[in-house]
Amino acid sequence: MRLIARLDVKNDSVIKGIHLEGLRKVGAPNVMASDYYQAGIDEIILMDAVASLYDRNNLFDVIRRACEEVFIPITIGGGLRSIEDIHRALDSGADKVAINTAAIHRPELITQAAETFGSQAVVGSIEAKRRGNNWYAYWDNGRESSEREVIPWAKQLQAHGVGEILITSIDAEGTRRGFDVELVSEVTRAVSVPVTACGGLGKLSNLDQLIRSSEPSAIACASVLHYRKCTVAELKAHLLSLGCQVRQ
Amino acid sequence: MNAPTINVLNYGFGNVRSVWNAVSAVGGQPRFCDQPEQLSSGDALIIPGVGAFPSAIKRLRDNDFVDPILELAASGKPVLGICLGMQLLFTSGNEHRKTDGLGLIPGRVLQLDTLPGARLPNIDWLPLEPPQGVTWSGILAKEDRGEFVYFVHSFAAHPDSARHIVATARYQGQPFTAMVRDQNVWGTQFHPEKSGAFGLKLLKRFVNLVAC
Repeated sequence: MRLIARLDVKNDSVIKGIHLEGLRKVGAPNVMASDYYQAGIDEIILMDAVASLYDRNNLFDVIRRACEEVFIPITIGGGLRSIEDIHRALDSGADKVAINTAAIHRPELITQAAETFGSQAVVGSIEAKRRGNNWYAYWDNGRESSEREVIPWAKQLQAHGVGEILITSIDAEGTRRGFDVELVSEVTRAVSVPVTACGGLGKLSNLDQLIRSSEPSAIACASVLHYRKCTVAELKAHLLSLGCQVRQ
Repeated sequence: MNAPTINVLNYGFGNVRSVWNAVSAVGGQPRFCDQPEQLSSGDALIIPGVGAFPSAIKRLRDNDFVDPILELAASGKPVLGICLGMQLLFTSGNEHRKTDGLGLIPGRVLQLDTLPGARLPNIDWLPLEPPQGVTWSGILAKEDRGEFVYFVHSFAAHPDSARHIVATARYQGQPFTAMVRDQNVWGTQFHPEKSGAFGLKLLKRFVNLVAC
């Protein structure tokens, strides 16, 4: 089980909101990435929170600096629209790119990216919101609905060649009230690539329910670390106590 | 003594910047090589790589890298293949279709055996184990048993001779080849440059081989 720190970045700051809205500054991306690395996090996701709105790709410099001192996998997401964008992201030192908005508009970009850079470099990012008995994939940080149902969309992303899926529950995101376990469980059942569960981790007991009823390959968290509700070591010790193999 | 020059093969496959940064962090002088003639100077060679076996080996051939790599390996200088770079060291690979590799280590590269419920690619931090009957001394030390390293792969190497296997890790409970060696040629299925402090420790030992 991998434990991932997700840093949503706006301009030069890491920000945190609730349901991907109402953003508050919590620190500097390079300092936080380095601190979490030193604390034993397994992976870092840097998400440009405004890039897909304004077409900015200002995260490349952050990545370039992070890679000089953070020797674990780094994923970059937000506003990557073309093979050229992806190439620049990987060239900056990122190991993977997370793609949501561009995949919704042009799923063939995923295929092209997987063929060019390998599936392992392409993470299909899904931002899911529950409506009735179903989930729908949103884009632009949960602002716009694609009207695509999440489960078929996850399967389609896999068919297009993603090497991983990052599933974020917009409903749970930032609330620290626990995961949308049902969502994670359905997505992990629908695909055979690794799935990262994101959104809702606020305390150790949130992990119990997630691990008991679903099989994510990784867990991404933000608030719980940013607001120092738990340390990386505490989260990992708890995952270990739940029977997960974690790097100590 | 000057920092040893570590050539990092830059052939369009893999996160070369991270390898460069990691080598630099452990006291080596990394240098990107994108021309075959650059390989003859320098103290050691790292072949990074992620992606597919057939297109990577084709790129090496098309850019005339194969003979200089083989010459370098024959000269006794340390060579380290990382991930796909390790797989390319073998006789052949089976990704998409059977393709000849560099042939530096006899063996084949096959898709990971899967049991029901398997997820591929295998993306995980896994503990290293010595093969049965092997005691580590050298680039891996006795106390390194159980250290976690980062893997991302769907294929694994099957050396013809078990003596070339330095370390294994487990996927769905079954051991697979995590690290190989034949004299001065080393390979890691995992990414030492992405495996935190322990990964850097391994790279430091590799860089230090030059001084020996």
